[in-house]
Amino acid sequence: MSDAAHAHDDHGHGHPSGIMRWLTTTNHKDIGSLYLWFALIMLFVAGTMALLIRAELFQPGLQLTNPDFFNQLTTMHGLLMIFGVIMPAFSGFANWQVPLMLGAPDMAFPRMNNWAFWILPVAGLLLMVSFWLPGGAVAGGWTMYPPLFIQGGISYDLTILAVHIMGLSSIMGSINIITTILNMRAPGLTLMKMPLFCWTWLITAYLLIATMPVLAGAVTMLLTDRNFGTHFFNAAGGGDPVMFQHIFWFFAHPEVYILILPAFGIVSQVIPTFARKPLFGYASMVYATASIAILSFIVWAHHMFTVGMPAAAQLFFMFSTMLIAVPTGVKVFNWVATMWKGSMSFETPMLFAIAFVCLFTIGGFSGLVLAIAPVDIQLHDTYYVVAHFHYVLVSGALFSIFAGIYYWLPKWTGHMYNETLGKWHFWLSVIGMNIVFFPMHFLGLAGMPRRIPDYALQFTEFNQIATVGAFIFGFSQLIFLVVVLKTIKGGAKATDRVWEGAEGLEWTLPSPAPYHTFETAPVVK
Amino acid sequence: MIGKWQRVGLMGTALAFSQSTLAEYAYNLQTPASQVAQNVFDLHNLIMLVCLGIFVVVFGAMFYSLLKHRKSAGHKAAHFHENTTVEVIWTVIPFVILMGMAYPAAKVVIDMKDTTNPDMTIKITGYQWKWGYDYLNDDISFYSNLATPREQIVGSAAKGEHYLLEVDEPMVVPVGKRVRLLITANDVLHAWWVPALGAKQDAIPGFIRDSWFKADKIGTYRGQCVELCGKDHGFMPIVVEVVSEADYAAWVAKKKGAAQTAAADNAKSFEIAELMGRGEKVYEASCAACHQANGMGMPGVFPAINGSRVATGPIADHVAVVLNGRPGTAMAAFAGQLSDADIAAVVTYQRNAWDNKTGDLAQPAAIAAARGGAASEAAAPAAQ
Amino acid sequence: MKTEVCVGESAGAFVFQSRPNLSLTRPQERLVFWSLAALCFAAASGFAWLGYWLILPFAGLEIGVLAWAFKALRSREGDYEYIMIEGDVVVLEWHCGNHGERRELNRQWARVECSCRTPGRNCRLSLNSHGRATEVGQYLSDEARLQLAAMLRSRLQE
Ligand code: HEM
Ligand SMILES: [Cu+2]
Ligand SMILES: [Cu+2]
Repeated sequence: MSDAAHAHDDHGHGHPSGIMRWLTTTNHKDIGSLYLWFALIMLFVAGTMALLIRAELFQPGLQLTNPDFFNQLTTMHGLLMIFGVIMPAFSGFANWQVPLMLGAPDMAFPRMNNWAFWILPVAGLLLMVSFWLPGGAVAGGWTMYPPLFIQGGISYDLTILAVHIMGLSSIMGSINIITTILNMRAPGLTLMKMPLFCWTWLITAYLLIATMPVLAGAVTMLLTDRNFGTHFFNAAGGGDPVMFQHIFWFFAHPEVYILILPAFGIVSQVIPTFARKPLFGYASMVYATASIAILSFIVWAHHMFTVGMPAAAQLFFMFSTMLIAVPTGVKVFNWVATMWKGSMSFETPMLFAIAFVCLFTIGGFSGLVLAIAPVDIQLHDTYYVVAHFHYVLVSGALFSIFAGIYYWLPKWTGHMYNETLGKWHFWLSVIGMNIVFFPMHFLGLAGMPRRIPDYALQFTEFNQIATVGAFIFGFSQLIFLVVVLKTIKGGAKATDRVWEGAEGLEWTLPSPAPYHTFETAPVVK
Repeated sequence: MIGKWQRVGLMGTALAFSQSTLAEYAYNLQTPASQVAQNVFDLHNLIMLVCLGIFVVVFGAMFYSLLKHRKSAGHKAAHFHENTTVEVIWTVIPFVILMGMAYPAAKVVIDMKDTTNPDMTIKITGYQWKWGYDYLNDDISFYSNLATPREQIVGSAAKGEHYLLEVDEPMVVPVGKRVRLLITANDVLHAWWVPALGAKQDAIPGFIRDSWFKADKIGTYRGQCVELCGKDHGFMPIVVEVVSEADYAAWVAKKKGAAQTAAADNAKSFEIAELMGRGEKVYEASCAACHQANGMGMPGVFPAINGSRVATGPIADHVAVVLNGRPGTAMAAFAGQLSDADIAAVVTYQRNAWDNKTGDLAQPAAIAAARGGAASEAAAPAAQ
Repeated sequence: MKTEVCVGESAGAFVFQSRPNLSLTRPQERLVFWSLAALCFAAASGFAWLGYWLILPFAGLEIGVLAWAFKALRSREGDYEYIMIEGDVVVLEWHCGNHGERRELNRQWARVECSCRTPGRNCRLSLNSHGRATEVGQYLSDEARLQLAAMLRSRLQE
């Protein structure tokens, strides 16, 4: 028999140490951590680009950048935030939490899991390196519209390669997640008993698998148009540049839901815990998520109201887009009803979750405004759209990630985070976020186009406010870094349950969760 | 006695006025100058009101709950977690509200899409980075470039009132006429937008899309390109001058006179000094955005003209590149954009400015001759 | 499939049977796989029909990988462990992927071996005879495995 001193020393039995441990690991917790660290680093990289953009826009005139470099910054900021921050962070949560929540020992395909992560930094590197290539980084917008995208230099080809790699990583990750959730649930844990986080990831993985080939095909056709003389998107050769937009948005509209469904999942775990009351309308949450996913395949052209479609097409896409507001509304109502008559306490995860519900809804409302085709025609490609998608992605996706980290970090590290610092991080983020993005609604309404390095004088005041907010928001993320590092190093010992109201298999494990968990399945009654 | 609602209305109007004086802090869409823009304005206000109403109700409930149902206030958690009736109600009500919104919106869509029965038609072409206007009824064509001086942009001069929203040649239209727009692009996507007129349409190379507006008020309306089109996307504004019928007729006459002078220029032969002076202006307007005023280009993106093989090699090749562009790159074909005299001038300028002291000189007649061969050359694959 | 464990006496014999925990049912698998394949190919063929055919090969590749993944899951479907003790005969049967065997041991010679990496956790259980060990109880939770060990010990020593 081994002695008691070994009881908690179950890290890496027979595993290589140092860098090799991380390169070769197939452990879902290791891989989850890798994803999350990658996302955090990219958050600071892409965030720095955002601050450069905002600094340039602090006043009219060109001060810090030239127009070409400015376009490189906006493009890279978008690509890295979407593919390098939000998606990897959600994959990190899935890797850590899905097996713990399902009572599974690991993911269904651990080795594929390792590959899925390790090709990501390669893609990130390809993108970053292009800043130092002749012609600079890609500057055609994250949407990669041709013919502009056909004009660019070598970095555009590298970007296509990077998008392929990130797509491959997503596919491997999704297949892993979908099979894990379907096949590795503990006995008794039926689908309709699964934590909502697993449900949202199941549907997200489904959307990813359904749409990734479309993205891969779209960028490949850009590549052949650029290098091999095809004319898919070139009118002079019989192609159609607008078809790229159809193909791209057929992928990218489901993609924006890929960026928010796991957030719905995280928030649906956090709110019941701190309201000390079960999630209201679990089944309707599942159905709402599924209907959002289904609808997301028939709304893509709401990004294209200004390309000039027949009235019938505009009406169809307007109505279908408006319909999405129904299931989205149901979710918000359910969260509010979960809080209703609860016994709430306001630790940092809960604060971020509440801010999520409130601010994400503002993004939903501006989405509804944009769904109205005639209004969208006025607001398309203005700062109003920038405001819309930052409300859903910053106060939506990113805030849910913060909520999730504060919520599960004690389980992962065995230490409580510093609540005071957490609250500082929360309040500065919420206030900063609103100062940056709220005035952008007004800028868009007043007529300021997006993706411009310089602007007319009447836009000055709101731009200055936004820039001040951006620096508040940006620098308060350093607090987050400090909190995470401090929690990993030490801090008050976390109990197994961690939160008074926490429910679910992961909270039955010791804190920190041992390296190997649920090697054999628990039984759920 | 004025009723309560009238008073609310008055207050609203007062508020709207106080806002319009504070131009810097505009909180809504620009003041409409056409019926379509007005319809969109009203539609937007309606939706905002509905959204505001829903927001207040839902988050009123949430914040009430946050205050009352907190653990620190001693509230004990209830245990309900389902209620089919409630869930059906809050699925159906939003649906009904949305239908209420969809109806007026659909009407505006159909109205906006109806481009029939125009009084006049203007073809608008987006270029990297300027707009071209062709008045199909009056046979007038011109280009519209940013007029803001470079010094204002880099900060060495004070910025003017219409910084970045001013052009050398505005589009001029008569008030109260239905103007049909045929919009296309020459190189990459652009989008033509004048907010106050409520017209926005992507400009797509190889395709023509239409839109329309009818300006209700005389005035100057400003807009910008709203589809990322490369480096100077932020620097290709749109200015529409809506004038009276009489002023429009006068403008047309003036434009026609200018066109005749230009045609006469094409038949002339010039001195090198004349060509250099004219060429420098054309270079500033059409070439300097990429190749830079000093002819050095931007390494890796736009090639230099100073010392380039094309600008110092055989003159026929040089003219061919200017006429036909370099397909697949940002180098546009200027055959359709510049007159023979302008191309002769700019080629002469490029061959003699900076260190390119070739002493060569191109005349409009030579350009006209080269144009004859341009069609067959354009079909051949680009050199190199 | 659920982890199915049955321990019981049938006609005086001790019988133990268990299967791995595979929660994916066939209808679920069919629904997920075929709906994904249909969606992917419908979109890709639609675009191909318009001339944008380069999506098709990616859809094909991806659905291929998905099919492989589900097949890999299914290959564990037939896995089971079976132990029967009747009189002096111990029958061990297991099946895992493409492998499997049936062993008959003599009850007198069979030994139960159980070792835990940490007390009560990460335990392995096997039946030894003639210098060869066969692992059993692989699909059980640690507690259930320790119970099985105790049960086997008492059965073999009768
Ligand atoms: C009620 C729900 C929503 C509706 C009705 C809606 C509607 C729209 C519409 C109509 C546009 C096009 C605006 C334009 O370009 O003119 C748009 C843009 C966008 N939306 Fe949403 N949206 C909703 C929720 C979301 C969510 C949840 C996300 C992601 C988390 C999201 C992310 C985006 C992004 C990234 C863009 C801009 C893409 C780009 O052009 O770069 N939206 N939305
Ligand atoms: Cu969308
Ligand atoms: Cu543009």
